[in-house]
Amino acid sequence: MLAYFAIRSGRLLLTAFLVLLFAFITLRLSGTPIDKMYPEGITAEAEAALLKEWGLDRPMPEQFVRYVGQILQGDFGVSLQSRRPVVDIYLEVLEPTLILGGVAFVLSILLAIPLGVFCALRYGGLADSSINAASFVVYAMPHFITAILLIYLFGYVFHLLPTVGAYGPLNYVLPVTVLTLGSLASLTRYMRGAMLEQLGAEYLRTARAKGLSEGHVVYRHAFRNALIPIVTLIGMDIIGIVTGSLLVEVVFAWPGVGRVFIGAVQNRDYAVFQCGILFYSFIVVIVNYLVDLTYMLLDPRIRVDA
Amino acid sequence: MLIDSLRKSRWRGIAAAALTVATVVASTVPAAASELRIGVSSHPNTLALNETGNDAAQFLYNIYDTLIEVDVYAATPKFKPGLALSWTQISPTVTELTLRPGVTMHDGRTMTAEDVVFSLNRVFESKDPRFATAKGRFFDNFAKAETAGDMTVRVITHRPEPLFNVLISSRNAGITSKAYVEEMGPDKAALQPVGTGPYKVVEVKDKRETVLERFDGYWGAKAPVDRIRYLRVGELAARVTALVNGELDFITNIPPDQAKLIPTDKFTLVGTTWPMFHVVVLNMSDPVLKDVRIRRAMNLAIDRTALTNALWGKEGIPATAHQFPNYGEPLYIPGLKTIKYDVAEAKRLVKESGYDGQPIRISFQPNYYLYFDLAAQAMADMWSAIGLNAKIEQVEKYDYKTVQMRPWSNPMYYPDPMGAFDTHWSKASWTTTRKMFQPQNPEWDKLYETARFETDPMKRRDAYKNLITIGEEEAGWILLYQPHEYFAMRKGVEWKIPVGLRPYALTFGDGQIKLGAK
Repeated sequence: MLAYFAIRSGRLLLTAFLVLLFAFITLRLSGTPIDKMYPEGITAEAEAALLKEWGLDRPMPEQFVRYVGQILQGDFGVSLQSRRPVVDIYLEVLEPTLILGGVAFVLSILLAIPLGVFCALRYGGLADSSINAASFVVYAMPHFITAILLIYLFGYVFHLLPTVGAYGPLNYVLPVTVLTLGSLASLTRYMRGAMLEQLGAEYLRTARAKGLSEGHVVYRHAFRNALIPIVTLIGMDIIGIVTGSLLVEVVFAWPGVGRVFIGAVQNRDYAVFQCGILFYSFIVVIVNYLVDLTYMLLDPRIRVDA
Repeated sequence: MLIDSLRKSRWRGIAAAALTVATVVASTVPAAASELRIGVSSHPNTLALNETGNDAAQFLYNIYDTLIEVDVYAATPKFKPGLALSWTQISPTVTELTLRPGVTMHDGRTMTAEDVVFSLNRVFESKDPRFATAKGRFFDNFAKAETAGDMTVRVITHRPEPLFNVLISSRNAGITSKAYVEEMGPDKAALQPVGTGPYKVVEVKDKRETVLERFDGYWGAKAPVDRIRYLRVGELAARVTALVNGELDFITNIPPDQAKLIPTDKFTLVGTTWPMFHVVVLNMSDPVLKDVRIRRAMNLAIDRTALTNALWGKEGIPATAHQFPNYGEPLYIPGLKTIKYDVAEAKRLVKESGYDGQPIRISFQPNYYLYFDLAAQAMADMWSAIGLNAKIEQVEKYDYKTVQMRPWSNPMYYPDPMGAFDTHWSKASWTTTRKMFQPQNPEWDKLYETARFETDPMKRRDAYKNLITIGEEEAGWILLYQPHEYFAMRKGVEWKIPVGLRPYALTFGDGQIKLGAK
């Protein structure tokens, strides 16, 4: 058991390290912040002086070793553009992102599980077919298309909801809807599938044969077992919301982590980008890690194998 | 189409009902009693005095003042006292300026000669490489500033400076508080700067949102708006929607084909054809492009009228010569046409050059200038038609060792032939120092000298005319067109373009904006 934890934790750190290394190299290969900070051009002398000031004239391996040394001491550097500490920049925008993602996550689960069960119980009926078809459409639609469509309808045509920034509760409605819809579509379909699988299982016949009521059979037996595969998907759901929020934040001019991160990529603001990529990769690996652990707790067979 | 059909259908009823609710809910961007909410497409890195970009021009005029000011609505420059009450040239290279007393800066301190000298020398001496662009563009001839008493400063130029007034009124010669910059350090001071202008910076959120507030200690007439909130809304569709939806009062950078989306019964469109050329810079050191016949052929092969009509509609202006009417006569020469369209001659030149089919690449960064990707494709076709193997290439960065062409723009930074020329093609410009622009004509330097430093306007005019005529023959640049853009604002906001300033400048001081009821 201890070895299982140790291996998993080791993998977690290794993954984050490799992601950082890859990101560090690729962004530098794509150019320097100079091209973005001075798009109108700059003399070679001024460029050289700035690169020297920022330490970007040093060989890349040296830059990387120095950076890793800094982050091990908790120093994530300063933004080349705004000269502010990177951590301050992210902390300032963490709250709107967490609320946006958190609300979308809770809503998608609260809606998807009952919807999936509902569809499974009415398998083949009109409600099931309609919800299933709608799920396919929403699932196939990229977040930014849904976002632009909603902005167009609720902002441009009907003037019903605000479309930029995070100034009040109403500003949350459209971005939360976009993120929720994306996860809801996939989770509902999986929940429906998992439930259908359980409803057709042999052990339910036994349960019914024992004289248990239909409600008892469905909710105490089928539903509980159908939830196990969903746990893994909830992990995917969190990752989907985190990555989806990158685009959604840009489209809605949302003052969040995603917009800062995308801005850092666009401007090649190295330190901001590197901190962001660490943040995102940690979320992904930690969520996977937690899913593995939860799965192990829920399914005794994995526990034994481990 | 969809909008129309929606409006005509039964959705109209729903929309009408929804509108009632909308007025209550939609305007959630906080709006103070008198607040102007502006949606801008881009935001400068900082609000410091080294910023020279179009994005910075939206802010700097409201935050900083200069020693000499210019009438922002006069098409040809009219100078007036700013932070200096008077100025006299005491020798051919020294101008003495008497400062306005009792000017309070945004940090509460009173402006002194020390502040002025500190501010000017940051850019004149350009010890910090961040100021090198501003120095090269405007102040290459400015040596230093020095104090000559508590309220007197002297500005010393290397050579007599005929453009002294116009250059010293450029925003990069704005005045900040020396003590504040020293206390805060240059980085923090650049983000939350102190000026002497009608508005002070109260909130800056990392290139997303910046709030200016009326500065009640302003030395001149107080600003008419309590707060100006700039929001960066990069997507054009999102900016338009936020305006139509009542979330913003004013938006920038709307190309003609998108202006149709804004209903003119509730919103005002203010359009302008900028005194600015979109330009292609050719690398004259490149093995293929160093042949002047190839460059000249490329310049002759562009059908600028077709290109302009397709991209900017009737409002865009195809380039005919490197000049703008804003200079005023005699410096502006009406009817001058140095740029020609001659496909037959272009073909002949290509043939004569013995061009062997090596690829010619137009490199460009995505989203640098609106529609450049489309212009590049059209130009590549026009060049293919004269026998060149033209390719377009989207790049993340320019490698100046190998780049053959890149887009650029030549805005008129100040209303003088040098305002769009010296700022881009001087020996201090990166185009020259990176050896992209290297005119070979032996007359060039002499003509440049006269156009830049001569005091007799007629001599300057003639020299400039010859200079730009030779420039077209050298074909180190290809001037394309003057783009047309719109600003849009809700009814009740009255604002007009400050034609006396550089393109994209936004000014909201006394008499420059009226903010009526919604």
